[in-house]
Amino acid sequence: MAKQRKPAAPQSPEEKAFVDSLIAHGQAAKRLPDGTLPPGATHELVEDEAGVVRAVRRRFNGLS
Amino acid sequence: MSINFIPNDPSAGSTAPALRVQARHANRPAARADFTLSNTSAEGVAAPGTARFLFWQCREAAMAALDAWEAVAGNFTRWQGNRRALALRQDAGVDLNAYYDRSSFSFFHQAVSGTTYYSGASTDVVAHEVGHGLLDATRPDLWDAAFLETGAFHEAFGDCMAVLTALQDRDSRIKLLAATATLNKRNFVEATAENLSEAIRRLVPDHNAAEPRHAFNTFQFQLPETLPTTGGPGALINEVHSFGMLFSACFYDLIALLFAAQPAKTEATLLTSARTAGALLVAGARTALITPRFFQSVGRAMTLADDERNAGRNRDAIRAAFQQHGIMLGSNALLAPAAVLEGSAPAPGRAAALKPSTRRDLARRLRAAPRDRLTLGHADIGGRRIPCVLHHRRISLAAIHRRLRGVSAVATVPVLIGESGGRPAILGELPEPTATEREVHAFVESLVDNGQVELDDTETESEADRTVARVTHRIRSAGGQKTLRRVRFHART
Repeated sequence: MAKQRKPAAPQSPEEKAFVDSLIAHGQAAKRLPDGTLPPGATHELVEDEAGVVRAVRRRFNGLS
Repeated sequence: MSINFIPNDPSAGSTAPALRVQARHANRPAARADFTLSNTSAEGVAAPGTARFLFWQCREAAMAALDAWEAVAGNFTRWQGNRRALALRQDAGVDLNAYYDRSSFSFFHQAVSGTTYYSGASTDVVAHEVGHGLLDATRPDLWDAAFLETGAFHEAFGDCMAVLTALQDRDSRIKLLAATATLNKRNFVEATAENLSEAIRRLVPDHNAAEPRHAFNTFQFQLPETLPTTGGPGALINEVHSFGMLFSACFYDLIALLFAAQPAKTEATLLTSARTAGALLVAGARTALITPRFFQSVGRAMTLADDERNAGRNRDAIRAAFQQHGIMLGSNALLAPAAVLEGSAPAPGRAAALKPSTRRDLARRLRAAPRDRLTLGHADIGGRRIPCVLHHRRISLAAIHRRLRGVSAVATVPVLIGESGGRPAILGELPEPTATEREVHAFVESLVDNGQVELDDTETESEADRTVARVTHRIRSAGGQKTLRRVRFHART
């Protein structure tokens, strides 16, 4: 199994805190096998060619 | 023909307007932004829980939210990306949530303990999601802004739109004033999405969202990183929907303050108050600079908008509304927490001291070089003794003049230290290193241009200049470092 990479270090402590909050609340996640985001996720964790994982907003939701 | 409509939320309680029969909204004019409807139903009065009711309820709520926006911001013509219409999906499957994703507004259903909950049946929830779409059309750059406060503001804006949508409705204003003449207690307008919270409470009783979000609250600002990740129902935590309650509280309190200042307390003056606050909110959201402290940024932009539009008539109310929640917009913002630091907060009233971890983190935040010094003292501001770190920053002057290669100037930058949520925090603003460097370079350039720096060659100095002591700065060597230092002031330029 490939080693799971952690999200790339954001540029500032405030940006890092935001990504940490998204992950902690299930709001940043990888897409499911059917291509959809898990319920409650607003950001997709995507890996670029350099292997850097970023949280990219895909939608807003009504509840945490 | 008429429809059945719930003006607020299916679980808003007995003080809220009940299900009522009313004429449906007319279709949107062709020149304005609209919704693309699906799974349409024939117009008619239908019972809650039926597909026909849900279709017309969701459409009516979305139209009401657009009405509320247009009442304060003018005609709305295009969604983000210049789209004229976005899909409105009243039932997109099973979930206890609702989404806006730039192409659609999607609502869901889920059965919990024998009751089926429909997020599209709540005017609160629909107005909240439409609020995301309206803000995204206005400030598309907020979509990717990577600060918790910008995300939280988007959520707060949705809740503010739910409040404005409710107050756009005359029955709701009358019922609200019957429940609370001053707006200063919990009510069905300031509470958002009671029905969904009820479903979550049945599933996970201790979930943070098991309590509706409240715009009427006493939460005080603290840096979001200092808040816990989880908390009981309704607690303030470092999650965007929860943290957004701090901003929606400022907005709700602004409405209450404007209403309190009205000579007559009627549903009409309540509407005026809500629209004044709404117009300022939209104006502030349009222009606020994106910073980690975005709530404060929006509040300040609202104040400036009020200066421009209303000759500052509402300035005091705006400032008071934000200050009630610890968000400082005026000169007292000097002491507002701006960025959290590692370690424990300095003890009030004790001799100033910083833990090594705090000092190291501060040095990182200031981008201090190894040869820079940080000294700790205090500043007396407004009758308070505030710990103050002086960052003695060495700035190379090599780019100014060839004779200044290897020479640096020392800029002393004060940083006030306080606390937020029990953690040490930088107060006011985090100094910007590039700006400091540019200021120092500009100053030394002016000194060189005016012959005020004693350089080894005096090629720019005239005979007359030599006879008059123009020099104010000299290069001094100490500890292996050459530093430009002032030796005197003089009155002649």
